Amino acid sequence: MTAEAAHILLAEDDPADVELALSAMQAAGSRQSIVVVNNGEEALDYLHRRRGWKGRGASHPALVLLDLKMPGIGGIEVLRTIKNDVRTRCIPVVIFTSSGERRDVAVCYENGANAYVVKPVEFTSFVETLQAIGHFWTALNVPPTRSVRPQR
Amino acid sequence: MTKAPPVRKSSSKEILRDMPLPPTEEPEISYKRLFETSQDGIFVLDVNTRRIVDVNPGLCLLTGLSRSRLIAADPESIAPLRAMFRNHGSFFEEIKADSVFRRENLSIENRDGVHIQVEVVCNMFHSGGRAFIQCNLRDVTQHRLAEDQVRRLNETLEQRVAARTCELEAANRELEAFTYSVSHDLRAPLRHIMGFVEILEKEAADKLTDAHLRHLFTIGGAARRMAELIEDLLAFSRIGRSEMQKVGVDMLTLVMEALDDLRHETKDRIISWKIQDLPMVTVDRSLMRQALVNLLSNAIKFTSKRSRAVIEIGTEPGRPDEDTIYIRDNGVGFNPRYAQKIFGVFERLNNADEFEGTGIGLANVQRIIRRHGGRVWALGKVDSGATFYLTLPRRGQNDS
Repeated sequence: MTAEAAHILLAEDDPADVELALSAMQAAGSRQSIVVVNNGEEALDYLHRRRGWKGRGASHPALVLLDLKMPGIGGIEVLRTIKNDVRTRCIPVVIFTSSGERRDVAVCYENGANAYVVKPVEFTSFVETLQAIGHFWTALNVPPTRSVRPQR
Repeated sequence: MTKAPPVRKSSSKEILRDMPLPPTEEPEISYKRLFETSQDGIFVLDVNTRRIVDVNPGLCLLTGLSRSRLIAADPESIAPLRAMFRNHGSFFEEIKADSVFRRENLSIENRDGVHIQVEVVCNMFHSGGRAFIQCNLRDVTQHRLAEDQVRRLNETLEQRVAARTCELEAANRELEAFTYSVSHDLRAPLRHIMGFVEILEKEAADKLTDAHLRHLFTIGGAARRMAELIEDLLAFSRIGRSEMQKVGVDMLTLVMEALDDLRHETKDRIISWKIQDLPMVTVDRSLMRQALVNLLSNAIKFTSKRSRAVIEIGTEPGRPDEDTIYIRDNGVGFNPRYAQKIFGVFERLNNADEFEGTGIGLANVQRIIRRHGGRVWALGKVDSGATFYLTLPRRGQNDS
């Protein structure tokens, strides 16, 4: 374990959604740290400590909160890459998207998503939802302790 | 059921007896006339000599050969007839074995050197201790051409159906992509409007005038309303796209389940329910339950201002191949002029501030019933209640 607190990686391309998510966390009085990346590529860079994220702490985020519709590498591809890589597949990934389409839900679970949450349209529900997600995955859930580098 | 009277089969003797003969002609003369005037080409072969012993004018016309050229000729030497004898001795072998030789599609050359299709039927008969074969050749070229044409038309029809199906599938996929995009892309800006309105209301309330706060409230309300409309449209679209799983179920059970779903709306109300026995139907359970929830929730909603609400559910006699079910209420009713409009998407016949709802419910009902092969219609008058009718194809004997 490192000294770094449990943190959430939010992969979200829409700046308004990012601001709402941060406001929601603030409104919920959460002290969790949130790292924001704006597209799929950057999310993978963060997890693998590449490019701008070389110097980050060694611990995995307690949760990746992943939007589906992002330019370039989309959410599903990020999910697939995370879950197909022995170094990252244990990181919980929660899909956080506008789409409630059954097809999207099915594809995400087939590719190893740990949960699927539709972004509520109403702000009050949005705040409550993010609060509940943050609480569950960083306080209640016990994640595996594994550093970015593989053990062997 | 009444039994049909037994059919009495006539024997061939009776048929012959019943056929009137021409009064002035002897039977043989009559047959000879048939032979002479037949459109078919006919010739008679002597089995022993294998020579032609008689031909009719029809054959002369067909082959373009004179009677004298044909009589006493070996049929295999007559070019137009050669096709019949092509497979070596098989003609005589076949006719000796079966007493009949039949070919439906034989190609021969007619008198103009044109290939035509003929149907050939040859029969063996005995006369004066000798064996003969009578052959009839019928020109079926026109018939076959017509058949070909029908077959070709069928093929093009199939191609057209396939092409049309392809187009429809493409249109469906496009519609699905559109719905998906509505689902995902229209919700995001609404979330932003509502989110930032709420943040403003919370964090800047003390800096805003009452009028500004009212504007913010209006913006928030409008966005919420639009979110409802989008959700309803998506649900409507899902009804059209979902796969149906039909099962046999008692309509009464479905009504009871729908009423259970509506507990919340009925809990503070006094409603007199009159529910008859309802038929077994073959439906997609969840879709039909949804249709009933929509219809019953309407009846509950539009009787809310009645001191004594009465809602009846029953069946009415209708077409023999379908069940007709009605839901009648004594609520505010509607102007019968708009009886058809009532099933449109987002059509409302009452003021929005008087009764809640987006106006998608009856559009859903119509879509669900139509997908089941049924019909819906409504009867009503302003202030004297409404009756909604739905029909469903009646269950067949084999339905599970």
